Amino acid sequence: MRRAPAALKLDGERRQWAEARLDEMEASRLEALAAALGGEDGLRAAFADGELRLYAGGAVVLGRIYLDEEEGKLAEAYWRYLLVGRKWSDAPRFATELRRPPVRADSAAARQFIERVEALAADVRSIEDEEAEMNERLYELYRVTPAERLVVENDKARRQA
Amino acid sequence: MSQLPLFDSRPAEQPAREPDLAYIRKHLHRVLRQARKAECMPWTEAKTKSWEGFFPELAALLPEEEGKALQAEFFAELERLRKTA
Repeated sequence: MRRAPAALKLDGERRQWAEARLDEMEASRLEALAAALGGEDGLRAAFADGELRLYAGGAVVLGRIYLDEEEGKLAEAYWRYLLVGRKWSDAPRFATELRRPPVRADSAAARQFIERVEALAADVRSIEDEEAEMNERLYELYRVTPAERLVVENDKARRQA
Repeated sequence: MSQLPLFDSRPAEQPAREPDLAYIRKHLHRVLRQARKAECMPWTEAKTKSWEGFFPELAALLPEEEGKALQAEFFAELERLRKTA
C-alpha cells in the first residue's frame, strides 16, 4: 500500500490497488510455475538465508518467500516431499499444495517429518546413482557412440517430461 | 553332403554413420544455456556427474576449436554452480 500512486488518497483505493498488484504477482508466479511443470527441467526446493525458493533447471520459479528457520526447514522438507517421485502438471493445484505444510513447525512431528524426507531424498539419490551407473555400463556393453547416446537420452527425457 | 546354411549367421557390419554435428551442437548449446541461466546446480548429482563425462565426449566430435571453447565454458559454469551449493 505504501507504493500506491499518490493520486489514490483514500485507504480503500490504496488497498484495492495493492490487492490488484498482489493478484498480478500471484498470476505471474502461477504462469511461471505452469511453465516449469510443463518443461523437462527438474524441480528443486531450497531454503537458505531465510528465503524459500523453488528452482526449475537451476533457475528460480518461486522465491522471495521469507520464513524463520524452523518454518523454512519444514516448508523446504514438505516441498521436497511433494516433488519426490511425483510429476505435477496442474499448476494451481500444485500451488495450493505448496501452501499446506502438514504440521506446526515447532512440533516433534515436524522434526520427524524433516528427517524422514531427508532419508527419502538420500534413497532417491542412491537409486539415481545406481541407474546412472547401470546406463553407463549398458552404453559401454552395446558400444553406443556419444552421438547415439545423445539421441537415446533426449528421447528418454522427452518421454519422462 | 551337408546343406549349406541359408542365412548368414555373422552379424551384419553396420556402416559407421557420421555423427549429426548440427544436432550435437544444438544440444550442447542447450545444456550451456541452462547452466548459464541457473542460480544453482540444474541437475541431480548423478546427472551432473554424467554430463561431466558426456559433455567432453560430444564436444570432441565438433571442430576442435569450437569443441574446446564449449567444453571450457561448460566446466567454468559447473565450477560457478558448485560454489553456490
